[in-house]
Amino acid sequence: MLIDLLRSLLILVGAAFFLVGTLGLLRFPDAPTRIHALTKVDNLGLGLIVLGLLPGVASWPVVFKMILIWLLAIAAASLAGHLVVQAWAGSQNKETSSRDS
Amino acid sequence: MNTFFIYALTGGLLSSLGLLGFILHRHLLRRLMAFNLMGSGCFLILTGLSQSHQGVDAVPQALVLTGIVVAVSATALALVLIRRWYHLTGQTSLPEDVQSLEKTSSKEAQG
Amino acid sequence: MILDWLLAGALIGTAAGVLLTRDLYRSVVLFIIFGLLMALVWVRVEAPDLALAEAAIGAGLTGVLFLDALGHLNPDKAAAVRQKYRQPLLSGLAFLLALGVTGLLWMALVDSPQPGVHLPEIVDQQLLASGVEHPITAVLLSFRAYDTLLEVAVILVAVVVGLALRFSQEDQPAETQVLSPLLQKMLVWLLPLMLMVAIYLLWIGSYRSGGAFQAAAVLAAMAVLMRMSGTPIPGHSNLYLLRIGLVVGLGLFLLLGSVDLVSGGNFLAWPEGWEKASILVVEGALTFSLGMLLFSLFEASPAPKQASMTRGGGA
Repeated sequence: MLIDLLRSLLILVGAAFFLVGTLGLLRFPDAPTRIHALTKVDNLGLGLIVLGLLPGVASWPVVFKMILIWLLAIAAASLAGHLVVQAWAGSQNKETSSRDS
Repeated sequence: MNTFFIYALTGGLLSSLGLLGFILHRHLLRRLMAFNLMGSGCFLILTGLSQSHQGVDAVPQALVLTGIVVAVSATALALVLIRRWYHLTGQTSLPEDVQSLEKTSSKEAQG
Repeated sequence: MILDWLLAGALIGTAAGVLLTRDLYRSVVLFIIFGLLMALVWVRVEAPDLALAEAAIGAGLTGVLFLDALGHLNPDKAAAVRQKYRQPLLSGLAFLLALGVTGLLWMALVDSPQPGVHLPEIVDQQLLASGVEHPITAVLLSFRAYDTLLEVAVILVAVVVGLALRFSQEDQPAETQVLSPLLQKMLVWLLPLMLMVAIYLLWIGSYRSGGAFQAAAVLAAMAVLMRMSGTPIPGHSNLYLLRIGLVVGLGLFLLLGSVDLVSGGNFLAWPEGWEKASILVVEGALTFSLGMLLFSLFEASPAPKQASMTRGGGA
């Protein structure tokens, strides 16, 4: 009973984090801040949801897979965020240098 | 009305939406995207409709699976052709479309 | 039910966004989002195989293809100006046509008759004879193996045409860019993991969701990732290996499909007692071949870099 309550709380909070992350994606002004919202907030939300789902899972392989998915999502998000910001910084540099010349 | 039927109806709407975009757009990339939307609509009708009668059905699902793979290869081929066309002419739309557009626009200018 | 209506609404809304957005780049991004939503829809339609395929192919591979093509088509200013001329007559007709199609489809869907045969039941009855336990794999490689065979042939033709167009242009190796040290380090972990996922998907295809197509999509995504990050692909520069890889799936499919034919049976009926082994061998070859085919479709697209410069004079 208590566990169920805890689980639904975890999932709800995770969903709320997703909502906030999406809000940040829509409302933030430029690429770095948007990526900040996406990678940090959404991954925390995903982690909470995975944590909330874990007690209901029957077998160990599935537990392992879910944690693996979370880790992969974190890795992919940080990598993608890194690449996007790098590309963004490159285009920013080009703009300022063309403005100066 | 069950869940499957909702998606069959959605597929119907998607198909006609894609058809509309396919007719109205001139840019070849946009046409290709509209065509893909039509395809997705067809897939939804195929699975949604048959499953709304008989429950989960492996046959349409397998057919749609082949369809998805064929669709992506057709799309890739179309993209190769579009890029070749662009490489040769510098255009992103077909000459017939541009001509008909120019005709009407010159008529509008006269009138 | 509410979730389904919301999802359907989001699907239609995204599709409308793809068609209505003025900015082409935004339209392509919306199209990728549409693919992801489709994957969610397949989950709701209780078709996890399709969800897997759609997420990998529809959203992943198609998105990469479109973005790649978009990067090579410079924003055509002339076409953009022309686009603004409207043709009221044609637009009106198109709207009427679309409305008519919608109405007809709606009527047809609502009044669709109950089918005379109950396919899921037949599949269930015959499932034991097919040699595999997953009904979709059974349909793909046993009951309707003809479709799958022809599908592979169709993709092979598409790839041959694409490669022919590519080779007839003066070719140059795509520039290999070392993007970032982080990416390189990550790929060392990611690529083996992707290979493992592909093999896993292939293996569980005989009794659960998964199979040759999904595994091939992961394989192709892996090759595309390697290509884009400049990781050398083993045997890639060897044209003969590439060609053999492209046809090995279809070839083995035909070969094993004819075994029963030779001994007086039917084409594409797997040899008796060897159903599961045949299906697994064909699926393995298909996975490899389809992965290479899908990758070749991506590879066939890069046009020479000078394209934009040579056309500058003409436009």
